[in-house]
Amino acid sequence: MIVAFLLAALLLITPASYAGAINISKGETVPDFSLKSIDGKQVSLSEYKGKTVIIVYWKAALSRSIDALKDVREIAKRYKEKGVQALSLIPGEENQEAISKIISDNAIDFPVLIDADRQVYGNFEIRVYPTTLLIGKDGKLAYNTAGHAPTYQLSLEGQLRLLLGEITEENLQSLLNPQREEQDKAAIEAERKYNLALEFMKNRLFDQALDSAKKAVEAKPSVAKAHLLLGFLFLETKEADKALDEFNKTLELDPGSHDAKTGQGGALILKGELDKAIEILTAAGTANPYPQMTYYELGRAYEQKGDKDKAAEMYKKSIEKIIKKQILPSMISQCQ
Amino acid sequence: MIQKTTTSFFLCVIAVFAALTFFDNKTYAEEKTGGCITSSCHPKIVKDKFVHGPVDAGECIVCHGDSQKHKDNPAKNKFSKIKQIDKLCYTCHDKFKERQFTHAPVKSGECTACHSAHSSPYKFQLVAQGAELCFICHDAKIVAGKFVHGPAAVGGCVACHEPHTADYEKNLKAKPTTLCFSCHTDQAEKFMKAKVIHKPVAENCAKCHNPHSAEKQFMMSAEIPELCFNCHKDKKEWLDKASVQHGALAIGKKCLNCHEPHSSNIAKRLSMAPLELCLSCHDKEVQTPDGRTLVNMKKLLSENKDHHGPIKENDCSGCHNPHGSSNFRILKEPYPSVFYMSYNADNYNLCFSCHEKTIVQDPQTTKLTNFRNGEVNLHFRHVNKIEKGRTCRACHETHASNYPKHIREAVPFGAWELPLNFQMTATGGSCTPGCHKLKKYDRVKKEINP
Repeated sequence: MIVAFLLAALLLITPASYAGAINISKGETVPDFSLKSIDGKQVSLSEYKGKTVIIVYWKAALSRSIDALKDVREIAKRYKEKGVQALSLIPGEENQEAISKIISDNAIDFPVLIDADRQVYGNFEIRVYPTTLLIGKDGKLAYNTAGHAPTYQLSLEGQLRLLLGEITEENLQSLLNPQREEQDKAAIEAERKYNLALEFMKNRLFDQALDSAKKAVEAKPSVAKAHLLLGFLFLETKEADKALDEFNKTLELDPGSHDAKTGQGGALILKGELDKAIEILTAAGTANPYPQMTYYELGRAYEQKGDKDKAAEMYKKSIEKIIKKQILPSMISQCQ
Repeated sequence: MIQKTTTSFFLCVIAVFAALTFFDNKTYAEEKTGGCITSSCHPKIVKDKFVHGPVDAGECIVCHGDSQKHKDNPAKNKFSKIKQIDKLCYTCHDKFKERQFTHAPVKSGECTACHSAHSSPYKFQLVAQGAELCFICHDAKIVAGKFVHGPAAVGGCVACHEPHTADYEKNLKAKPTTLCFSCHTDQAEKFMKAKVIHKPVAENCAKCHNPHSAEKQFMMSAEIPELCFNCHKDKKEWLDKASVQHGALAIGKKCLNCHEPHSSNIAKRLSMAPLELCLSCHDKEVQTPDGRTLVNMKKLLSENKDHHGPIKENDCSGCHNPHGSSNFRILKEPYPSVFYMSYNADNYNLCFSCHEKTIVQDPQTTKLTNFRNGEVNLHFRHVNKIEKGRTCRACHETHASNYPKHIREAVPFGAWELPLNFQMTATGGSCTPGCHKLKKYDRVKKEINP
């Protein structure tokens, strides 16, 4: 009974012991080692205490090792200013000429240490080429990975950024586990047709613009800006009721739209309802941060009403708003 | 803010054009032309809605000169043909800014190839409407495909092409991809955020999509995978040689079952994290075309907690070629499918693409493996034999098991599943009674097995 219990307990604890690629667990201090580099210098891990260290244990004949080396080279370069140092280790029996060629061909600019009697290989229980370790400034293991998965660079860089405090664990997980974005195809189609309509407007091709704006509205009727654009295009074709309808729909979707209120004013002018137009436009002009068009429409309303002074005042305001750059500077030249 | 700015922009555009329209609607005053246009002379010159400014203003002489002789006897004194039309146009109109690319009629000074000099039913006095104008010279077949690009479908060639001069080839308004992104803002957003971008997306969308029309959906110039193989010739060659192709290539979206065509945050533009992507199909038993049943891998991995290294790293492609291979189970390299095999390193290339070869070549070791009795390398002892050499699968499950080192619970021996009863200790372990009677090993104090 006791033996059965002990065996069961052993089975329960063993998987945790074999969770990583090596025998050092995350958070444990990585044992120091001192090895000769390929150019004859004696290098110890402890020399890099206070730095963030990436170690890659690799083998020349295996392509994934070279892929890992190149990724580590790039990451180390990007984070050099943040105290990141890369080291690489090779088994002692590796062909030195082959190693030198790989280093030269791939511009590996960090130390390559020779694990002559497989001291590190054995002590760390490395079993896979490449094996990569990320060690914090405190000398403790932060992450290790075996092989070179398609996500190698993403994972290693993500773990490094986590270690450097640049991202949170949550950020890291979303980075490592991207989900297919659910696409709102109707919204995408509406956006494309809306943009196309704008492009046609720039070219003064109102027929095509109208067609595209209608398609944008059809694709997704809840897109306020598509209704707004369609409303203004109906004003161009002098279809006041249709324009008014579109401006009303815009305001249902976006009650704060000053442009829709301006459009309502324009449609009412077209219908001859000048007093109502002036009322709406005056309210829209007061609250609108970009009211040049609103004042222009007010000018038209007053002009048609026969109040030339008031019309002139409004037209002047419209121009002043442009001059005072209350629209974005890049738009001014096009408005002029 | 961007939306406000855009809206403000088109409001401004409308304001300017509203004023212009006012002038468009001016009626022509016959008397202005000094008698050039009467019911019997040149009566059709201003019949249409859009009238050229000088005509509208009755200034025929601006272009044709004053010809009293013509007036006196039109039949005998015809107007001489205008030799340099563009030069005449540029006396009033600004010459187009010189750019690298110029539309042929502009280059040859034939403004009237597109614009009527007098009047037209179409805006800008164009001689035809929308794309019909372009198709006077260009082949209309380019928009005759089953799927037509939005601007082309409504005759809006100028949404993409500058009609006069441009900085980009084919008189495009902007660099190809940038131009596409002006409408396809959803793709632009993804592009900006993505870490891995398909090269043609950065260079020119037209490498895969026909910008006018095509017979294939999304105006792709060929079906997938042929479209992909146009560039990825190495993949085609590989698959032509492979005896087994990954089933994903033959179903649904084919290449796009796994790869995003435009951009992604995962290497190889995978649409999901690698293991998750594989398990999105292998979450059930899969029937192969040759009648075999592939295990429900998702279930297997969830029921067996000790996973092989590549699976721990979410990397099925560590062992399998996701496109196809001539090795069984589309493995990247040879790996024995049988229980016994005479040892030959070449048979284990798959394993040795990650693991140290000497693990089964050195009879004695203290570093290469923990599966040793004292210094006796038990991997060597099991595998490296001419007769009845055990293959890796004799003891290890290739994907996962509930034993450390993904050791099998039992080994298949004919119809019988021989239990291994593998037990692990801090310094060694034991197996019994399957292949042999109880045998123990210990790295520190060598076990003497009877």
